This record gives sequence, C-alpha cells and structure tokens, in this order.
Amino acid sequence: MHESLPLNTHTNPVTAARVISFAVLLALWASPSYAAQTSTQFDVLINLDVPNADLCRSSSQIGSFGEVVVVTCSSGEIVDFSGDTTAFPWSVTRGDAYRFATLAPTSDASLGTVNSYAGLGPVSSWRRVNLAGRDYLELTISW
Amino acid sequence: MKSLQIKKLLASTIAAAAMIASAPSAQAASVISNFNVDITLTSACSVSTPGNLTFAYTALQAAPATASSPFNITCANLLPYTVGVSGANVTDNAVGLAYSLVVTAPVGGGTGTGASQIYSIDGTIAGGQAGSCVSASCVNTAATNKAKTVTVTY
Repeated sequence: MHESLPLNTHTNPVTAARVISFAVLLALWASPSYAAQTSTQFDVLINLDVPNADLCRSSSQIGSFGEVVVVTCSSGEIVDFSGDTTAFPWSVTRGDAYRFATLAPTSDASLGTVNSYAGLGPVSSWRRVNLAGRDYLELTISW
Repeated sequence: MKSLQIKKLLASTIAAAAMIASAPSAQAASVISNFNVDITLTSACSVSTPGNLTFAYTALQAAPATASSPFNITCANLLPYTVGVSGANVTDNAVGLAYSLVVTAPVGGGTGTGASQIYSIDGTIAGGQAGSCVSASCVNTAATNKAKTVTVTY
C-alpha cells in the first residue's frame, strides 16, 4: 500500500519543516557539481595549392586493371611515382623525359602492335638506334 | 594686619586647590569594539580569443605544415585550471586535409597567477597528403568543421 508524506493539514508544522529541510538537503546533495568554464572561438583556415594540376595525369589502364599509380608533381616536374610501375610502357626516370623503345621494322618484319598510351605527352624525340646489329625505334616523351 | 595677610594666603590656597580638583584628568577612558572584514572571492578565469590558425599547404608536400596562434589566460592567483580545444584531430571537410591541434602551455601554466599567461594553439598538417581541390588552389571557406573552441575549466 502506497503511503504519502504526512504533509496534510493535521501535520505538526515542526515535523513538516524538518521533512522539507531534509528534502532540500537531499536534493542539493544529489545534484551534480559542475566546474566553471569560460571559452572562446577561432577558425582553422587552410589554403591548399595544387601546383601544375594540369600537368599531372593518371591512368587506370597502365598495368593491371584498376591499378593506381600516383604521379607526384612539384614545380612543374614529375618528381615521384608510387605504385606498381613495372608495366609502364616506358621506363620510369627522374627528369623531364620518359623513354620508350621497340624493335624497328625491317624489310621482312613488322613493328607489331602500337601501345596506344605511348603518346600521352608531347613527343620530344623520335630516333632510330642500331644496337648489336638490331634497329630500335626510341621514343622520348616529355611534358 | 598680619592676620589679614594670613587669611588672604589661606583663601588663595583653597581657591587654587579647588581649581586643581575641578580640572579634567589627563588620562582619557576608552571602550573597544571589534569587527571582521569578510570577503567572499568567487574564482574566475578569462581567456582571450586566438587569431585564426592559417595553414598554407601544397598538395603532396613532403614536410608537414605548421601554424600557431597565441592567446592569453588570466585566472585568480593559485586557482588550478585546465585548457582544451575542440576538434583537435579532424579532417577538414572542404579540402580533405587531416590536421591536429595542441595547446602549448607556458611554464607554470595550469595554475592562476592573477596575471596574464600566454598560451598558443599549435597546428600541424602532416606531409604527403593530396587533399581535395578541383582547381590549382582551394581555400576551406566552406568547411563546416573549421570553427574551434578553446575552453578553460576551473
């Protein structure tokens, strides 16, 4: 059976005052204490530069399908490759130009297939090289 | 005749004695009451607003980018306090660069001196990050997580 606090009109005023005081003290004791705080705000501003973004190109068709090769550019030049670059159609070098070579056609042999990705950049050099009795076409590409 | 002179001398002596007796005493009386000066000091701290922390970052740069912004904290003498900054390790949602912020305290920091103490917010963007940008340069103006709060708890 539920019993209510004896705070009706027949309650002793002293008893009522004691009950109320106890309740107030209990409430104060149970209240969480909060530390004082003061605060202020500021912004973080970021200026992001992407140097020579138009000179950096990527292709997912080099090597395995979906392979990602990251080309890092700085001050207008490619300074680094990351990822599996073993399947590059030209050798990875540092500097301005990238070299691609293939056997040159002879009177009784054809060139074979042409790598369609070899012409991504302006051609700076195209020459025929004779090495150990064989002719090669050397293509140098630069950006 | 001589009797008259003796009477005058006697009268003068009596009058002088009466004047001395009626003169106020040189030793004053006093009464004392004590009271206290009661002071209730409510401890408090104040913090100045740091300037915006501005980074300049080039995509994929090798070295980390750093930025710093000083601010002041003044607390009641001997009052211990702590300092924190919100969003201290996040990736900016406009330019896609991750950065970290730390609060650098001066010697004696964490306890009030009654005078201004100089702190700083130091930020770092690690190197090697590409970031997100559709043009040659971008500013994180549209970032919704660029606003930070410095909080002093005491």
